[in-house]
Amino acid sequence: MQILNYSDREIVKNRFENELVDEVSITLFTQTDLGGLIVPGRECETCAPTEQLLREVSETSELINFRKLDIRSDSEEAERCNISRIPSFLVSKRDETNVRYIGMPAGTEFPVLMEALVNVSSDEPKISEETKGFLEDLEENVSIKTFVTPN
Amino acid sequence: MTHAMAAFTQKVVAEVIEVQEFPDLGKAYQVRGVPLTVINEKYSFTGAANEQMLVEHVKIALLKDLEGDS
Repeated sequence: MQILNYSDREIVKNRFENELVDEVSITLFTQTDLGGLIVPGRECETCAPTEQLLREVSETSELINFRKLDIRSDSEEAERCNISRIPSFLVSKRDETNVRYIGMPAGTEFPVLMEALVNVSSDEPKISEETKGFLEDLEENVSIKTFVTPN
Repeated sequence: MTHAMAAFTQKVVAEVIEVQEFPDLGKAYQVRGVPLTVINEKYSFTGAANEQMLVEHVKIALLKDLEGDS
């Protein structure tokens, strides 16, 4: 069963046709499907639906690449990307690791995923010239964590 | 919005966290309402912010960092 229904998929597809510029990647950190087995300490209710949702989104445009990594067997990459929880994913054009989502972007958070893909794909993220000037002048790194719920 | 800023510069690391899935993070960051935005681990505010407001919050957080360093 699909997570995105037909009309949602068409909306997403149309938006990406108009707004994606360059290839963009979604890198999902998750765990190997345990085939329904429940292993204490390895429960992850949202890992499978997050993977399905991201796959469905990536199938709406040839410009979106989807990559799935296992947080345990790909632990070096997880460490490089500073990922310690699953499901988590990065949206990147090359090998950047600074556009991140921890959890499943469902419900009202789904547009956040679309915005991230559009902004990363474009060389011109949707921010004002004034904000760009401020960001260009930053002398240090800034970490911004936003806590949300999908309702 | 934070992702757009991070897409512009790698100096910004923007992370969106679904707090219902990770209640331990919610507890650690004392999330009592959403959206809660935490900048540089020290400064936070609750509620939606447009681009201009977000930039102002980042400026305040950076100033607080400087005050903390001095």
